[in-house]
Amino acid sequence: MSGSTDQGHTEQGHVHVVADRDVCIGAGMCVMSAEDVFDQDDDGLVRLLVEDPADGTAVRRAVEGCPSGALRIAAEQTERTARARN
Amino acid sequence: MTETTTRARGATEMPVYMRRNEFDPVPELTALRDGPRVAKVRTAFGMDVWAVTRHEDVREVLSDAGTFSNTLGMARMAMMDDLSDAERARMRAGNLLAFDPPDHTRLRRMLTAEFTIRRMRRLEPRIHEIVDEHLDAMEAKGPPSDLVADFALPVPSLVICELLGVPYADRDDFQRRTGQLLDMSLPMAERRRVGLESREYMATLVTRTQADPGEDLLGMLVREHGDDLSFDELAGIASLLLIAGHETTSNMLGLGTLALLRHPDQLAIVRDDPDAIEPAVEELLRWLSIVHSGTMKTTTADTEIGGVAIPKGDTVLCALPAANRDPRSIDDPDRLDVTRGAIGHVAFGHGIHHCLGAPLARMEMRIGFAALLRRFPTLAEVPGTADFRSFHVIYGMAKMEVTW
Repeated sequence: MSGSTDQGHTEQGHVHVVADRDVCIGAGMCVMSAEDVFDQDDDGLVRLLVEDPADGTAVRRAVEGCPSGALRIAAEQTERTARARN
Repeated sequence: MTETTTRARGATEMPVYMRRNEFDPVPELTALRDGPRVAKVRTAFGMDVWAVTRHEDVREVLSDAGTFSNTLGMARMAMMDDLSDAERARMRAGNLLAFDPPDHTRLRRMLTAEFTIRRMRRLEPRIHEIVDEHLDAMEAKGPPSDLVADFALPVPSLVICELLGVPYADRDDFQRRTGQLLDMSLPMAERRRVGLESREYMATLVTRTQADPGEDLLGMLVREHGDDLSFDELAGIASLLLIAGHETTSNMLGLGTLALLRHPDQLAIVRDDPDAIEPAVEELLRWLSIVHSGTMKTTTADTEIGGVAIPKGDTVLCALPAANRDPRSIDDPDRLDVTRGAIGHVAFGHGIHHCLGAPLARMEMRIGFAALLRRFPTLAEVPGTADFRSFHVIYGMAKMEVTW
C-alpha cells in the first residue's frame, strides 16, 4: 500500500494516485488503461510504477474503471494550487 | 425448441431481464430503466426480485458487497432445492460467486496470480496456435461450417482445458453438462443432477491432481494451497472455472461474429485495421452483454438505490444489457460502434466479483475475431441458420452456419 500523501511536488497536469493493495482483487484493468503507471506483482495485485503520473486522463480512466475501488486520486495539482504551494 | 415447450419443461416464464430481440434487450426492459429505474420483476422461478437497470446504479450495487450479499443471495436461491445443508455446503464450496468477503477474498487471492495481464501474454502464442488449427480445419473441410461447433465453442474450451489441466478428451461430456447446467428451460431437479455429476467428474480430476500435480492451474492450487483448500473447494474452483471459461467466451465469439456480419462497415474496420480489435472487443462486450444479470444479491440492511427504498432481506439483480445501453452513460447506446474505445461497460460485472477470467476472455476474443475475419475475408452468414439461444444463463448462439 502506498503511504504517500498529497504533499509531493507535482508538476502541472500530474495526478497523485494511491493504490490500496488490501482492496485490490487483481483484475488488471488498471494495467490495461495505463500500463506505464500500473503493474501487477507476482500475486497479481496492483503495483504502482509511478506515483505522480503525467497522463492524468489514462490514470483517471483507470481509477474510474477499477472494479474493486482500490485506486484513488489523492490530490490533483492544477497549475494554481501547485503555484500556491511553491 | 419453441418457447412453449421451454416453459412446459422448465422454468415458468422467460423473465424480462433475459428477453432479447436478437442482439437487443427488449423494450420492456429498457422502459424499466428509463422509467421506474429500479422495479420488481419476476424471475424464471417465480420469485419477485428488484431489477437494477441503470449503469450508475448497477455499478453502485456491485461495488457494495457489504450491503448486497452474494452469500445470502445464493442461500435464498438454494432454498428452492431439496438438498440437505451438508450437501448444499459441498455444492457451494469453492464457488467464488457464492461468497462475500472475507471468504471470497481468501479464494480469489489464490487465483489472481494466474490471470494477470502478464500471465495472459505468455499464453498468447498458444491461443494463436489453437485458433489457427481450428481455422485450418474449417478451411480444409470447406464451407458451409457451423461456426459455433467448429470455432466458437472448441477454441475457448481447449484453452481453458489446457490452462486448468482438464483432459480435452472429456470435452463431449463436460460441454454437455455445462450447457445443461446453465439451461434455464430444464427442470431444477435435472440441473441439480447434472451439477452433482459435474462435481463427481471434478472430484476424480482433483484426486488425480493431488497424486501428481502438474504445471497447470489445478496442479498449482494443489502444490501451493493444498494445505489450505479442502477437497471440495478444489473441485468447486475447478468446476466454476471450467464452466465460466468456455460458455462465456464461446458465446461472445459466436454472437459477436454474427453482429459483425450484420454490420459490414464495422466488420471491415475490425478486419482491416489491426489496431481496431481492442476497442472492438470492448464494444462487442458492451453491446451484446451476454450475461443477462449477475448473481442474485440479498440486502443485509434497509437501503436505497436510485431513490427507491429496498428493505433488508430483499433480493436484487443487475440487468447488465440495460445498464450497458444506458443513454445516461454512453451516447447513442444502441448503435454498434467498434471505434468507441470505452471500457466503462459492466459486461464483466464490477466490484469484487468482477470476472476473474476477463484478461483471458479479452485475449481469446482479440485473437479469435481478428484471425477469423482475416482468414475468411468473404465470411457470410447462411441466411436462416442463426439460432439464438435465449433461455439460458448466458445469451448466445446455439448454431450459426457461415460460408466464405
